[in-house]
Formats: sequence, C-alpha cells, structure tokens
Amino acid sequence: MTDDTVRRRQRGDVRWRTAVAAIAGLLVGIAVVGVVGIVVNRSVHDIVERAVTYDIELEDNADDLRVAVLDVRHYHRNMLFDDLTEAVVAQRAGSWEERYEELQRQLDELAELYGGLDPTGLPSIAELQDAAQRYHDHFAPAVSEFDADRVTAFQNASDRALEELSRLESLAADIDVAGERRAASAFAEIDAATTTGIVALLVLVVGIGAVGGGLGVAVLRMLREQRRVAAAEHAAARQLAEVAQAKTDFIADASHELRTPLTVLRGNAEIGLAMSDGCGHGEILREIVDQSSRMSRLVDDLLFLARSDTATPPLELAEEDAGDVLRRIVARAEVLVHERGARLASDVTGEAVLLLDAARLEQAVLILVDNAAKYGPPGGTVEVRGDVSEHGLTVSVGDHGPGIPEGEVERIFDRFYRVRRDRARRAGGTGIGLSIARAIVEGHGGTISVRTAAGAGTTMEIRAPARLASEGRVASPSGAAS
Amino acid sequence: MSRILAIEDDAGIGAVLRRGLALAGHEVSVAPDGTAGRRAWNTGKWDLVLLDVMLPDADGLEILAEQRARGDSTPVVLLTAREEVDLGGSSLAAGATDHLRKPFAYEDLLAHVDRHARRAG
Repeated sequence: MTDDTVRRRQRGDVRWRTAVAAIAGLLVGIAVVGVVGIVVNRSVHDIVERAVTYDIELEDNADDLRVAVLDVRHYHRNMLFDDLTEAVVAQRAGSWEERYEELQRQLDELAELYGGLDPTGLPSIAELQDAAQRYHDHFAPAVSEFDADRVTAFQNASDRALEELSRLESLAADIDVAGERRAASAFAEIDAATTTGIVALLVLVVGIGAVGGGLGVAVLRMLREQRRVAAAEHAAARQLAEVAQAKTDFIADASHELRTPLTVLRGNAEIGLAMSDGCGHGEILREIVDQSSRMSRLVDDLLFLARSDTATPPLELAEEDAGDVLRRIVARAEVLVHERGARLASDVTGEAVLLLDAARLEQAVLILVDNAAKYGPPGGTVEVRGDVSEHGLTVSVGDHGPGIPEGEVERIFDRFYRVRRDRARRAGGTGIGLSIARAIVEGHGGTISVRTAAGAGTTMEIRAPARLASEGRVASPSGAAS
Repeated sequence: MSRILAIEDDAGIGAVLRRGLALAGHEVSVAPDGTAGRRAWNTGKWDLVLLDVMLPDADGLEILAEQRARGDSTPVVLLTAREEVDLGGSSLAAGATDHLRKPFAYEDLLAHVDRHARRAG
C-alpha cells in the first residue's frame, strides 16, 4: 500500500466520521424539536388552564354578582311601588329575601374563587360582604317592621340601603373590569406563548433542514470523491500492470534478441573446433562453446522468470506417472552429484498419475540437487526423497553442509541472491536457480520450503498438490516442450 | 554433398550456416530475405531448404505454403526460436519436414542436414 493510498484512506475516514457526527446531530436536533414542542405545548396548556379557571371565571362571577345586585335592587324597588300597605310589603319581601340570598351565594362563590387568585387590584371579599351586610342591615328591619303610617321612615331606610347597594354594585363593576383586564392579558399571554412555540419550532425545523441539506451535500461530495479515488486507483493499478507487462516484454524481447548472437558465437566456435584439429586454439574455442551454452541457459532462465511474472505460468502441464517421473529425475540427479564429486542417497515411494510439467519439475529438483552438491562438504552425501500419492507429490533434497545463516534464509529465493558470493561464483552459480525452482513449483500450485540450521545442513522440500486436469492447460506428454 | 538453400536474414547466422555446411562438404547459398529467397528457390535446384520463420519482409510459413502449393517437394527444415516451437502443428501443416531451434549446436545442424537432405545425384 502506498503512502498516497494511506492518505486517501485517512481522508475517507475523516469524511465518514463527519457524516456519522452529522447524522447524530440531526437525530439530536429532532429530539430537541420534540422536547421543545412538548414544553411549549405544556406551557400553553398551563396558561390556558389558569386563564379559564381564574381570570375568565373571575369576569363571569363578577357579571353574575352584578346581575344578583341588580335583581336585589329590582325586587327592592318593587316593594316601593303602588300603595305601600303592610300586605303588599310582606308579600313582596319574600321574593326580595330570595334575591338577597342569591346575592349571598354569588358572594360565597366569589370568595371561593378568590382563594386561587392573586388579589392585587381587586376589592376584598370582606369589603363586598360588609357592603352587602350594611345594605341588609339598613333595609331588612325596615321591611320586617313596616308600618303603613310611617312610610317616610321606610323610604329613608330604603334610600340609605340603596346607597350601600350602589357601593356594592360599583365594587362588583370594579371586579368585572379587573376580570376583563385579566382575561385579556391571559389571552395575550396564550397568543405570545403560542407564537413563541411556533417560532421556536420553525427555527429548529429550518436549522434541521439546513443541517440535513448540508449533510446531503457532504454525502454527495463524499460519493463523488470516492468515485474519483476509485477511478484514480484503477488507473494507477492499470498503469502498474502496464509497467510490469512492459518490463516482462522487455526481458522477453532482450532474451530473444540475445539468442541470435549467441547462436552465431557458438556456431563459429564449433566450426572453428571442427576445422582446427590439433591446433592450439581448441581449448579457447571449447571455452567459448561452454560459456555461450551457459549464457544460452541463463537467457532461457531469464525468459522463464519473466514469463512467470505474468498471470499464467509458462508450464506445459500433462498427466504423467509421477513415480516414473521422479525416478527419472533421481537418475539425472545421480549423474549431476557424481560430477560434483559427491554421493547420492535416494528413495522414491508411491505411484499416482498427476498433472505436471515433467521437464520443468526436473529442472527445479536438479537446481536443489546441484545446490546441495555444491554447498555440502566435498565428497558428502546428497539425500533425495520423493513421495507420490493421489494428493500430490513431495520431494526433499538434503545436504550435510554448513547450513544457511539465519538472517539469509528469507532471501535465498530472491533473484541473483547468493549466500557465499565468492564460493557460489566459483561453483558456476548465477544466483537465479532458486528463483526458477520456486517459480516452477508455484506454477504447479505448490510450495517450496527450507529447513536449515548453522552446521546442521540444509533440507529443501517441494510440495505440489494434485491438480484436477480441468484446472491446468493440458498438453500431450509428447508435446513440443520436451 | 548436398545443395542447400538457407533463407536467413541474420548475416551472422547466415555466415555460420555457410561456413559450417561448407566445412561438411555441402554447397550452400544464403538468401537474406523473403524476396531473394523465393527467387533463389524457384531458379535453383535444391536438396534442402533451411527456412527462417521470421523474415523482415515475409512469413517463412507463407513462403513454404506457396512452394508446396506449386507442387515443390524439396525437404524444408524451419529455423525457429524457442517460443515459436508451439507452431509445430502449423509448420507441419504448411509442409515442413522438421524444425531446428535456435540456438542450435553445430552437430545438431549437421545431423538435421544429413537426415533430411536429398542426396545430390
């Protein structure tokens, strides 16, 4: 992963965190709107209730009180009409007393309402009750002790009583006016509370709308950015693949082009050898032939490695009797080990038909055998063990050499890497043998592993699974790859 | 002794063929491209043609197919690079007698010539 990719990924993280925070904010906003809505609703409800219970009721009661006062006055005056006889007064006094009791009831109701009210600016109940009492005290004895011969005294008492009643009426009017004022201000309060609630809700709704809109824009931008990043990454990957392909093509082309001059070099040397029997140039010409052969092999190996880097390994897979193949490889290994002055101990077990490239597998095993013979002690033993089953094959190649230093084990499969450079070069190594071996084994879908310890020798092990015939490219065993 | 026509564009390989085959006692002509190769093939009498597959101005297999279509039955050994081996099937279909892979050893060249060239009467 490149630094650029990391930076892009971090930018992406920040963007995701922003989006999550914005969504959380939106949810909190919605909750706040709900809570504010409930609070506003409660406050409006309280104000309305208080207004209905007290302020509006006060106005109503004051009205009723005035009506009761007017009724009392009406029945009071009734007693003064016509001829004032004891019979008339006594007859009408009953109705008047009923109205007065009604007035008292209204005063009691008002007193009850006063219990829940702020009394500021209102006449007190005591004042009202006193006025009513004084009215009754003035008039009631005059009524009960009415004497047709003393009409004037009765009328005087009536006039004084009516004055008191007027005071009571005026007090009731005051309460009425105060009630009206209070009701009006309650309605104004309800209006204000409702307006405040609506404004608060509108502000919140607009705010949330803005946040939601911003979030939408951010999400769109993020998606566009991600598409752009994906496109850029795709382009970069394609470019990388093109570069890799160009590199592979270059190595393949270069290897191919090297072949012609190598053919010429070797051909001329061979012709020179054929011409110069007994002449002193023979040794030189033979060296040219050997080295150009070696260079041809190196060129072939490079070409193979270049092609291994592409998607399809350059193998010619065929169904082979794997036991036979391993025994043939062991026979070749024996020759090779003898050439290096060592001995071979071998053991091949099992039989199975497996899909493999016999020539390449031989190349891989011989690379390991050659290394074991080169790096083992002179005259030592190279051990080759092969096992074949329907599950695949295993080949291990061991030596009793000095082993591979711990820090270098991972690098031995790197191209052109050599553990003991001077010694390896003297032994004719090029440094790409293990790379080739690994490319071949991996081309078979297998793995190559190494067990080593300083002074305890090295054992390389190839494991290749059995592959279904349909998975690989199948060539006839007598194919041109031989 | 055989009369051999080599159609090969690389001057170095042409020289190796000429030198090497002359040393073995054969008579060799080298044509450096497809045009010269066709002319030489049609004007001379050959016991063997060594034919490079990739020529600058022609496809060796096409030249071979043309000659076979004209009823020519001269033995032909194709000179191929390793990657071209998988044209084995098509080279046989075009009428090749055999092929020799570059880089080739001198002794392999001589062996191919000995095996396939008609003996000059």
